[in-house]
Amino acid sequence: MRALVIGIALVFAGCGAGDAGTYDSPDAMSACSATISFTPAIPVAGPTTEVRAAAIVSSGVLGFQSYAWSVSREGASIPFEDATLDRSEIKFIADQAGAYRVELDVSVPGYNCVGTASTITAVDSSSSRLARLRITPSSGSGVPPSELQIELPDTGTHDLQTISLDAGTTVAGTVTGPSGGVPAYVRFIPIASPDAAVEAFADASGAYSVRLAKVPHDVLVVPGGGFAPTQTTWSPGQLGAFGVGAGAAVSGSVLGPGGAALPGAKVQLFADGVPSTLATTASDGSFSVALDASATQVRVEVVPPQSTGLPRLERTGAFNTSLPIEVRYASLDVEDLAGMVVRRDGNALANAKITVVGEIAAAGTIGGFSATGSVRISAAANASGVLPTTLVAAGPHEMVIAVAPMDVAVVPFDISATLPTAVNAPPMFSVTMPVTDGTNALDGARVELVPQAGLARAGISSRYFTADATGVVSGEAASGGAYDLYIRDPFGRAGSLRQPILVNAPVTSTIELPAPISVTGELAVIGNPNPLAGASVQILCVDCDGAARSRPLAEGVTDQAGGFTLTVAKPSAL
Amino acid sequence: MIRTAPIGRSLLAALGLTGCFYVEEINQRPAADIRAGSADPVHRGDLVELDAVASDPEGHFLTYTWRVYACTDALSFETCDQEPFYVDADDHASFPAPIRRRETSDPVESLRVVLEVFDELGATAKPMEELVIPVLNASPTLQLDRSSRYGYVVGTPIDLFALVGDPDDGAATLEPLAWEVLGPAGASYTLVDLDVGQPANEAQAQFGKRFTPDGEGEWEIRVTARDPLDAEAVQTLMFAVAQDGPPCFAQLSPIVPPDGNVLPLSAQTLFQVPVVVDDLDVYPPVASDAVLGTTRFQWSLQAPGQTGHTEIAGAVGHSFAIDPVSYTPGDVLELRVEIFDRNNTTIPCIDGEQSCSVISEPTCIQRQTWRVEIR
Repeated sequence: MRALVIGIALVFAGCGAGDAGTYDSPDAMSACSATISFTPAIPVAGPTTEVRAAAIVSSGVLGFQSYAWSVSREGASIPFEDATLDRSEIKFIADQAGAYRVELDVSVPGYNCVGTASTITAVDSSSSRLARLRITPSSGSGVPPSELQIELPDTGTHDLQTISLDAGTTVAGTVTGPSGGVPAYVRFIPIASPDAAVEAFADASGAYSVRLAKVPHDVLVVPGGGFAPTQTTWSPGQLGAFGVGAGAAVSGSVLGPGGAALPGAKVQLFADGVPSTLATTASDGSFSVALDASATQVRVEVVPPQSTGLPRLERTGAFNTSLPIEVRYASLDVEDLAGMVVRRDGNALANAKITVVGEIAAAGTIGGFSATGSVRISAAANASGVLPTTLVAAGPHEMVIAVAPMDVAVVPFDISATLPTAVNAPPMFSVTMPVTDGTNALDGARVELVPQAGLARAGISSRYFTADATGVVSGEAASGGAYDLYIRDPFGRAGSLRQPILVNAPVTSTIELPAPISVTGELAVIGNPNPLAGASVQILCVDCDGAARSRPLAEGVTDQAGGFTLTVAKPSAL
Repeated sequence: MIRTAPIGRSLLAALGLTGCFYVEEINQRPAADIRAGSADPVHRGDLVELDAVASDPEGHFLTYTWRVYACTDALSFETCDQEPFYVDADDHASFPAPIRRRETSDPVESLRVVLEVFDELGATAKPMEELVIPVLNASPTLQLDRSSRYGYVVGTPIDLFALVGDPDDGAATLEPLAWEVLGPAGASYTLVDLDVGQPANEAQAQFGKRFTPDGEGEWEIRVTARDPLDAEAVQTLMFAVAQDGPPCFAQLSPIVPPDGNVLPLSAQTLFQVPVVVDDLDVYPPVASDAVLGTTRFQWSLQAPGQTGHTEIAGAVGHSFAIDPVSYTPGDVLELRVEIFDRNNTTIPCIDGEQSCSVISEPTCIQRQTWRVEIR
């Protein structure tokens, strides 16, 4: 089991499963209330699964607080130990699946509080799946976004109970350069949950304002005015005043395949994700960027002018940025596609747009290290389907041909040895996919074909389909195209599915969506009695990157009571 | 106890008699009156409380007999039941006013109360105390409620609920409710029965209607409940029905740069609209609702070096990915998303406007533009 990392910003108040946590307030006594929060929210039972239960006493209750805990499962006492010195938090091992009942008595002088109890259910480890739960409150709420990891159990419905969010704090800060305020893009990245970043723009005076969870953040500042981007940190209580400057100059040169200077190339460095300024090589191939970060591994990216036909170069290495970095292209054959005809079934395709994409393993060196070359060259045919002068470094590439915005083909384009006089764009393949839950047709199911590989690099956009009344999705996909297929039933009859496909023939396979589970919960804000309505709640993948990391597997919005219900695939059904 | 008194001495002397003799005094009748516990009008089914106020000149112990008759018209004994529905022998009478006469089942309209008071010697108050109590028919009770999942938008159903009861005859005896709809001039509507549950209290009944107005403005629903005796209750509901408003962005990701700024983009990024609020066509869509739809998205791009935004064919989802590798570092492009509900209202702003509201409401916009710099 992976530990749930939520820091102190996000707690689950486990009061939904059982006994309300109310406190008596007899005469001359003030009222108080308490809940028990659990971490993780959905533990996976196992010999090392540690569950923490924390007492949350309502704000405004002043005085020494003492706690008396007990834990049981099926009536049998479960051993536990203090997790904090003040005993406000305990921890115990949930080695078996089932409901664990935690009882708590709180004593505060001047208050007469009765006990509270709550249960947390540890799920069976054999059939659970890790996922991310992203919560984005409405902008008007002032509550910062949160993200946490949850275990999706194999039960029909899983109640996350009340998720109490940190109301956050307002940070009205500044970005300043040597001469005063600097406009900038500022991204606050919670260290414990980097995906829950908060963004802001500092205005011309350098002023910005954001609401942040009261946890430590990394801060990326990308200033304007030629200043170097920088990364710093922010912790609760700090003002959020960030300085930017010229950074350290990193220089070098870019040389073409023959060793001649390559002017007009874009050069940028990244040190631990912090970009440098962007430079364009001068006529002598030289460049200089400003970098305000240090890292053992630095990524160097070089993008030559498209007119050269050369690939982009990229290399991550332990570059000594205090010394000039020489970028040198290997001796590459560059072919000219001029005169090549783009056809379909023997007919020229007027105004077809082509993009050649591919990889060249050793396309050059950066700072002495071998660099990977990435080809992406675009051109448009004329009215006769003839390509203009278009230089492309030779290699076993692919060509993405856009006959029309919705008519695309991907064909092998190996120009390592010979240059063809024509390329043929095969027609789109039909997509006819019944979508079912294994038994019933799922009318209204939504399908998105997300381009991958060459299609993605060519900038081709997704295709969307909706299943008809018989549950059949009909459409077309690019011949030779690689896609990630996202299928979702908006009516919650089945779980969502993601699977890759390569379209080399008409697509007729039946898509059987997995059995669903429902994930429910309620959002509340600590210290605020009102529920959090209108918040976006998304379930996202854990082991994914790029845009897929932001593409929800399920999503919803909290209702007026702060509740949400999401439908995702049952882990054992995947 | 019997008490005696001496005869006058003058009389004895006149008679030339000696010694004494006694005669019993004449027992006098008690006096009685009926006092009502309350001056409130009595309705059928109401609890009636009466008190006997009696006295006896000799202070005899008194006994009481109450008889209460259900009548249609108590001034005419023929309209009263022959047998009393209430008989008691206390100085206090308490009984519910019957709903109907036993013998005819006619609604009770009055009560004839007879009180007899006896002293220990059997003397009764004369005449018998009688009281005629008019009994009123209680009007039906009527409560109205309404609900709409769709924000009271033209063409969408509004559910109307009427909770009725009749304190005397019961809800089951009520005539069918009369529903009257008053709407804007020329506007049409439909009003159909709605299957609703019944309250646990059997004295009440619930009725429902599904009202679908076809015009905007103020609508009034007037409902009349009438009991078998023609007593009625009238209640009205008034509400405003509005045209379907435009959809509004509720959330956008990533942050939209203010005018004059660019969003640096160095990694594949999913631009998305997680939440759209609308009367009917929201995003994310609501499952299993035949009336609600979902937002339509349209994405367009102003590629580097281009002027004007070009619609991205097929990009109709709520998100759009941009991969920097498809561009050259330093390129500045604009990604635009526009949202539409079922009305497909044309966005009236010129292409150069980065954001736009079809209703000139800054908090409800349908176009947003990210100005992005590839890094």
